[in-house]
Amino acid sequence: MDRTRLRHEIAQLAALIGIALSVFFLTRMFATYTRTVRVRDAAEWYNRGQAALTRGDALAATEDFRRATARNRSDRRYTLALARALETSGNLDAAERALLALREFAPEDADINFELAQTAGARGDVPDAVRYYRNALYAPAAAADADLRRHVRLQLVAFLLAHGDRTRAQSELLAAAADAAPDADSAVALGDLFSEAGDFGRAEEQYVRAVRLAPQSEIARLIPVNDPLARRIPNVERERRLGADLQVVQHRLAGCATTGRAADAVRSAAEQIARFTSETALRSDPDTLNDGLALIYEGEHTALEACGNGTPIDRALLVIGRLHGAAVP
Amino acid sequence: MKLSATAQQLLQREHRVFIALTIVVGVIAGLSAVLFTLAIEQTNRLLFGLSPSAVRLFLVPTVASIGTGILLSKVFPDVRGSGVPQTEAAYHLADGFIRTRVPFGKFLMGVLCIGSGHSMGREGPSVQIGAGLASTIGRWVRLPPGRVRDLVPVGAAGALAAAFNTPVAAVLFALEEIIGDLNAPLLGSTVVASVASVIVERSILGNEPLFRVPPYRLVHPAELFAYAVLGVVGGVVSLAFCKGLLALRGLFLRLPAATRVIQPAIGGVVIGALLIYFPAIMGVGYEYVDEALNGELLLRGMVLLCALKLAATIVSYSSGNAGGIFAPSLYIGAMAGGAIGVVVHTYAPFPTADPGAYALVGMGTLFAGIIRAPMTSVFMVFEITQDYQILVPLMVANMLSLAISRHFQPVPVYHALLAQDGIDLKPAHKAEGPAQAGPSSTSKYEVPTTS
Repeated sequence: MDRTRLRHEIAQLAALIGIALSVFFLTRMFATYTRTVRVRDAAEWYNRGQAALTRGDALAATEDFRRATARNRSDRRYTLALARALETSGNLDAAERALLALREFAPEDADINFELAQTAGARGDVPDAVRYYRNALYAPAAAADADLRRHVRLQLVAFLLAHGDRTRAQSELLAAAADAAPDADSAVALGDLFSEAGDFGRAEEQYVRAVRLAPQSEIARLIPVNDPLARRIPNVERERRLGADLQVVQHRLAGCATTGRAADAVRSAAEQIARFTSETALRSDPDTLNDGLALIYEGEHTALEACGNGTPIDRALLVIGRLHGAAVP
Repeated sequence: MKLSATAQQLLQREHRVFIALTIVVGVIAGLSAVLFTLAIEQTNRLLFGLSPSAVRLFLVPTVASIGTGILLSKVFPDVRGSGVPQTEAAYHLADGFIRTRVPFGKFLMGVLCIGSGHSMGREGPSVQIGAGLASTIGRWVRLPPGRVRDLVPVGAAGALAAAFNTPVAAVLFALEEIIGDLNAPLLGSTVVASVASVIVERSILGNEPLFRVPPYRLVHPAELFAYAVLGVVGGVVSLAFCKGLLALRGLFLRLPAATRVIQPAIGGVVIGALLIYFPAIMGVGYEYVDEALNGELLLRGMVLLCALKLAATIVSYSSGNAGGIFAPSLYIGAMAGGAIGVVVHTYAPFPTADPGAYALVGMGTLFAGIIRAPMTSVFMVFEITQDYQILVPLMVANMLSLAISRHFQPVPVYHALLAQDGIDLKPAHKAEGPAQAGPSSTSKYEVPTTS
């Protein structure tokens, strides 16, 4: 009797374990399916959020990215997108919280640190922003990915310049120049940043580099049609180009509103050019061309120092001056 | 002498069987809770789709409630509401007897009601499902009635542990709420079941916490006053919830019995109408709790959601649908706390924590005020955050909320709900403590239907 009961109890327990195991595998299959649906839904919400961002609806995008994040927490793209949307809609605190939560699990992630830097920058927290920029810059991903590294560094430089920290910006720029991508756009961007940082010589070097790297770039295309000393062009054309270039510089100097010593320099350069154009007959003799070109370069350089970057034609005139041996004043 | 030795042997064997059953019940209760959670999610996804239209938002709860109303009246009359009071009644008054159809009916009705958008929680039903399965298993293996009774809180703890991913809080809930005694001798069994259940749950769903909560702490000692204010507000909101729930449910119960079949549909119509304008109050709503905990919601939104969720839950529950008040109390608390947090964070003359910290404390505060399980509340928040730092403010707010709620509503809401169904739990609860509970000679009787 006792043994029968024992056998019965064991059989019952075995049956229960069997049921538990069956339900376990069934539940696991169901969980896998549910996870698949969640991942698919998250991707759909993410796409909707991107579409909302494209049409400029940051609030709708925020809601969509939130839904994506809630359905798939493991994909950090969604949280990053949410943070960007929150930042765009002005909710900086929430954006930072979302990013910090993400950073808990990936403190060395370049993207997260970069986004945090942008958020801190938008908040006006310079030390935090610089710290996050540097974290992004020295993250393993940035070490391996040159494009990412260059992008982060240029953003850091722009941020430092925007906050008046020229010294640190210049040192970062030197590093950026050493690590620069071999393309004209990067060289022009670097040149612009160098000029913003007050290092005009290096700025012009970057413009020259841009022309050499990409003969089809905008600046490069402007040079052969604006250079009065270009080879195999008729004298009439040389005179026309010199006159046109002088007008460009005059226009640039006239529009360069500044104060103090810079204003004096701008005024002086403008007067020199005005005197040159009124007193000198614009002929194609080498002296006139060389003198005119020197004045154009000096005028552009003065405007660059006083009023920052100009238009592509201004950059092209600077490069023309440098190509024909003009020295930084 | 020989007889005594045989009795001893039998007792030992019964004990061994009980231990083995504790593990099995923990695993099965955990699995049922996980399955229940997944089924609700998939049903909701199936019924509403990814972004439902206004018509669909209105029709789904209305139509589903017509169906569940019929089933709840004709097939599963004993699975309305939360399931926690019914489980308590079964434990204290019926030797743990819960009909076999109850866990299955609760599963089906809970999935349909919560999945169709009713503002209700899944934890209460999980508790009843776990307890019901435990009771069924206990009877199937022919345990003595006292042992079947002991299995009920074990199943409840296992289910709650898996539903919340909070094993310690689940044990405390079983002791504090179901048994009503934190020193109950069933502590070991509930712990074993809870651990077994959580292991199963994590092996299926992974060890992801229910909410993503940043580390919060008390930033300034003066903040304790702000948390005290939160405790008072939490107490008042808890009171409003309990009073509102009991009043409206009383109203529904006074309606002719023939209307029982359409009462859930009345709730469905109201919820459908609310969902058109405020889909955020749908179902369990943990997505929005998570947003409040992370400070992603605005003040106006949180105040609105707090009021609407409170009203929606009262309507859903009172009209006799199947679903719990655990999750809604956390939702309402997070919104109330978050709103107070925004005000404190904006106007306090001292440094304060982010609004999310207040949402977290608010969550525990409402839980303590409504469910009246303060220790469960504290440990639940601790298990969710894995951080001790917020516990002091939480305890301050909890105690105040509990005191206010208890003062103005002396009978706990679960007991009051049972009382509305003609079940007086109090004398049995006090006279027959679980420590003394043994095989009972009283006949098994079914707990009257609670709706």
